[in-house]
Amino acid sequence: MKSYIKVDLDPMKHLEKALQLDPASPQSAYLFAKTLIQKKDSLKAIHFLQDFHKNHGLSDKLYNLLAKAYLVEKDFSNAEDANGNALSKSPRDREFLETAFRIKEAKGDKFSALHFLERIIRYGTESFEIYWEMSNLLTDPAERIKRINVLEIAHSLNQSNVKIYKTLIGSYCDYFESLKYNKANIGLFKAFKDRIETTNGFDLPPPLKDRSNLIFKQFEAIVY
Amino acid sequence: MEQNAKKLLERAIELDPNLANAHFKLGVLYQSEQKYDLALEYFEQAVSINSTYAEAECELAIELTRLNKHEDAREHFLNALELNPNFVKAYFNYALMLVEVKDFEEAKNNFDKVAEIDQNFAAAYYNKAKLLTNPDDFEGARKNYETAIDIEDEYPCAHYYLGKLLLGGKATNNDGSSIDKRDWKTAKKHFYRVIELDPQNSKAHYNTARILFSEKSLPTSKKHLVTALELTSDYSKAHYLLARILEGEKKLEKAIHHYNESIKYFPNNPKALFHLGKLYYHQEKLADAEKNLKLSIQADSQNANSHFYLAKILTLDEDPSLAKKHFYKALEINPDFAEAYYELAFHAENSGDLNEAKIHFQKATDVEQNFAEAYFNLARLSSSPSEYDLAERNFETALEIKNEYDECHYYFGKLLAKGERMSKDGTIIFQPDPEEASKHFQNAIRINPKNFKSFYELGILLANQKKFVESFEALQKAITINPNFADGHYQLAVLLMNQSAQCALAKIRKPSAKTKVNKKTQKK
Repeated sequence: MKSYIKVDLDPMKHLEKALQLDPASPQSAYLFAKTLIQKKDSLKAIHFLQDFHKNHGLSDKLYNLLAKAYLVEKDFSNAEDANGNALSKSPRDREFLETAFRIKEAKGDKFSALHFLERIIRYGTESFEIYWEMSNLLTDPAERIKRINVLEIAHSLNQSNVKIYKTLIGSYCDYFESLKYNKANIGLFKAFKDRIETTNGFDLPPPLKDRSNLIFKQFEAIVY
Repeated sequence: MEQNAKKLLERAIELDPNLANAHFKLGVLYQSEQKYDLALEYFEQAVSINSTYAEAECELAIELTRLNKHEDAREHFLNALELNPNFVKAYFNYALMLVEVKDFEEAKNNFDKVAEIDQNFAAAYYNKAKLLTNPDDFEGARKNYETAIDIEDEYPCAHYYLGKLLLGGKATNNDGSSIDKRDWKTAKKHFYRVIELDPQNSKAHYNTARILFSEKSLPTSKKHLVTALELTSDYSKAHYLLARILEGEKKLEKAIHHYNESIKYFPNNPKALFHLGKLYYHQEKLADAEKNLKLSIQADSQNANSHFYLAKILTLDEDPSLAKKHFYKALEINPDFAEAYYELAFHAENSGDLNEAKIHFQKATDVEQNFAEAYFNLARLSSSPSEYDLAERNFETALEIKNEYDECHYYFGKLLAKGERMSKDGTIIFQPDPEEASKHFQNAIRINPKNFKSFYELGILLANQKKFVESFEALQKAITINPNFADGHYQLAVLLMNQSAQCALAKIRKPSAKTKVNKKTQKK
């Protein structure tokens, strides 16, 4: 085929044409609304999806997209309704559960947000991002061990991610610094030591390095 | 002369009323003048005067036969034969009388007797041949007609019936099994000879036309049919055959006229009704088509084609069972009717019964092993992952039979591009074969450059392979061919939103910018 262009290169024009030719196409509607959201025009996306809902009804994916648009507009109540409709059709859909998590997170409902992340994990996921998000919610000092475990999983799923690694080491430090050093924590210390030794070539920033060295010294004094 | 002879004979009888010979001769004269009542009287007189007068007995019997007094006639024929056991005319006319009373076996014996006595009596051979209608007697009939013609070549009836015998060709083997001894080439010669001897013989014209029609010598066939209809305007069969030729020549209104004429002179003419119905079907005059096909079935319920076309019309009915009934009937009559299975499969598919549709497409391929369209549609419907191998095999078979089949290449490409199949342990796996799929889409495009769907699928395939420029070109082509192709516009939008694609496309936009600069320079 010869390379020359004779059609419009603006994707939105083609998308609008596709919708004009087949106004009930859910795939075109989805892409159109998604693009509007990406272009920070969530209100237009909401109006478009409301119209589409009136004329053709919404699929679960379109409900979820509507929830995302409401979320951008911080209209949590409508976002929850739309997401609820999507989840009622596909209760195990990871993307829908993630939207639910985002809404709860944005609302500041940490408990519900964690609940949705746990549901995603329960249905099976290999995504480090989910564990990362979960770790970010585990900010209470009482949740430090859980945070370490979650970050360990996130690290195992993406060992090249420096941010996760540093946060994991920081979390270990936070934990050890918050307790009296005794032999009861020797198991966790060994895991920490192991994690430090297998750095994958990452260099820890000086404050974290200093904190780690101090913890090492404290434990070596107990153990050896 | 005859008047003088009559006067002289009457005078002789006046002079001697017991002159049997004069009575006889006078009877013969009246017979030649078709005054049969008078002839009968004189023959009776001759016989009553001379009880050993064989010729008079014979002529009396002939006149009695004419009056349908068969028993009396038989008595006088037998008297004549008793008096003269080699009396050929008596045997021959006795045999003809026996044919009238349907005593065919005895008639045959008497015709044999004639031939035994006078081996050059052509009419005896001819008439015997006409009695040999059983397929077992095919050869016998043929020989007798041929002998009659050998003796008397200018014998139109013998030529005509020999032609008819060879046209039918129904015969049996020594073991009693049926065989086909049709010999239309020879039959045609005999019909031509009839026309030569008797140009007014409309039947000979029709039968010649029939053979020429089968030989695809349509203009000559048409000429004979026109002649046959000029001679006999109510000849139903000739109207029918002429209509067939006119239909072939696309002179449809004339064809309809002759089909209707054929039906007018033979209302229960299943063939004409069927062909008229079929013609209306192709003209999309479905009500007329339905009416004629139903009448055709009424006239002949065993015409599979009538049931088939009626079923095709009834597929438009809300009730799917009506069409099904006639498809099944067509298949009951002709179990090898591949096209009926094929159309029935589409009907089942349109009624939402995909499994039944698959069964019928399968049957169509069983019956007609080179039915590419049936293999293709069977593959097209085998869309579940567990049927992947079956679909692949059937697409391949369809393309082996008919390689230049763009729709098949398109669907096969789609199957290969998706590659969704069920593994042996029952899990669904995706093993797409983009290279092969691409080849099939390209073949579809080569065969039909307007196949926008193949351009579209090829575009998606190329985008997945990160061949963005080629993908763009294919999608561009799809919407250029069909600007109202919504999916094409959608897919183009998806591609144009892809950043990698945008980078790739930016490269092919550059030369056009250069071209603009060059043009500007040239203008300066």
